[in-house]
Amino acid sequence: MSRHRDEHLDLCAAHVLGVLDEADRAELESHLATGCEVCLAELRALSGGATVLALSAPALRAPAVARERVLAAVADEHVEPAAPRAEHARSPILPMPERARSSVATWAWAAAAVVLAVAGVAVWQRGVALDRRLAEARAREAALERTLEAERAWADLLAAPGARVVRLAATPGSDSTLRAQVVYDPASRRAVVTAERLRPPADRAYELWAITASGPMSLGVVSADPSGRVVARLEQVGGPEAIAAFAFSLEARGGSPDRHKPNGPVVLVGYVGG
Amino acid sequence: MSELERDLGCLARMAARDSSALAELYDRYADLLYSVAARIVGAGADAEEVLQDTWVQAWRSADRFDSARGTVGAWLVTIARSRALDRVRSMGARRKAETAAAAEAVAEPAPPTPDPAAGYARRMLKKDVTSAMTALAPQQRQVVELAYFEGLSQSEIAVRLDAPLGTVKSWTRQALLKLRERVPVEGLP
Repeated sequence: MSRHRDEHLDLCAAHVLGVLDEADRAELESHLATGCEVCLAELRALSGGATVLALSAPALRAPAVARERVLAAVADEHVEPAAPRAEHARSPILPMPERARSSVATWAWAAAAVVLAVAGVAVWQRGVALDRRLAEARAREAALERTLEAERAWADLLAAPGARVVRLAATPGSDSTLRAQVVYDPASRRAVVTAERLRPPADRAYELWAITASGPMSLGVVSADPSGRVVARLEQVGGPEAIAAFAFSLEARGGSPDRHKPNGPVVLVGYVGG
Repeated sequence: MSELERDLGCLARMAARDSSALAELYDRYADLLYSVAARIVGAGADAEEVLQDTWVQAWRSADRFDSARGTVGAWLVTIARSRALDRVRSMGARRKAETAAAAEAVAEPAPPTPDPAAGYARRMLKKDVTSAMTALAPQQRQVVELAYFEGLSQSEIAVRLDAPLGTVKSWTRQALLKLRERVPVEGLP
């Protein structure tokens, strides 16, 4: 807990740029935790200055091939854990990335800053924020309707007459406590994957595979919640060929370099109709 | 529909896993994000990878975007800058500004954007930012550039410029205050 000094204002500037030295960061965080209104107002003022710096970079055109690569990379992101993500503490100030990983104290400060800084926001700024929130709410409503539609489709999958339930068991020599199950509907080519205790060692990741007559095909790297639980939904599973089995392999963090061949050991496997 | 509503709509659709929304947002911001990445890592393959990482991260965290923190453009720029600085740090050696400048010389400059209204707004703002940067004292400009584009800490900047740490700190703040005064925007269009 430190009293406000003019030096704190200089630290605010380095903070919005994310370039505070470690000792200064500790000092500023403990000072902001006192709710110093002068510094909170300063952070708001300075963050606008930091944001426009982006526009001082010489304007270039992104290479045309990048667009396709980005869209392909995003399409590869189809294995999504349904486990809720940890909510970041919300701060009305757009934080610049800090040089090192943000400490818990930083987030704790950010949480405190919400309460304190929101109280100090001028009325016109509230109006702007409300407009934003209204726009956001409208957009969310439309998105929710689409989501509801999608949820119905996923519920239908579980009840589809042709859906197959595939239980995956640990392969000999791998951790026998691993469990996974895939509900797969060949007609819609959709699948729901659930797994437990899928906690990869550091720098490793589990990758899901569909095995067809022409060989394995990666369905993507699966990320589990901290307890190792996975609930993932997959679309466009497999090609026209029937899937004979599903398997998990243990890979380096980014997954196998070859999308048609696991690089690491196969740890779980289950045969469709087997 | 305002640009803000349009951007927020795209993010909500991205959160609902609609990749066409990402394509729409990409067309509006890719050049700006690539420019920021290129200024940090140099134009070319590295900047392109930063661009890709940025969009993958935006795709993964679209549901965590909070409009109270700033505009969608400012959020995307923050991600791109962070990924670019991570990349420079992981490369071990910092790229010198000359390398970036040399790569920029061969890179394609941005043509007018396909959206005349947004393009005009951004060009005007860019002009304001350029003149605000020019109006800064040279040391003030240098400290914010070293901090923003090279991610140098205050003490690293003091060593680089052979200036007292306290002076570097106050130059940084004065520079940001002047930029804010000359370009009073909340976020990026």
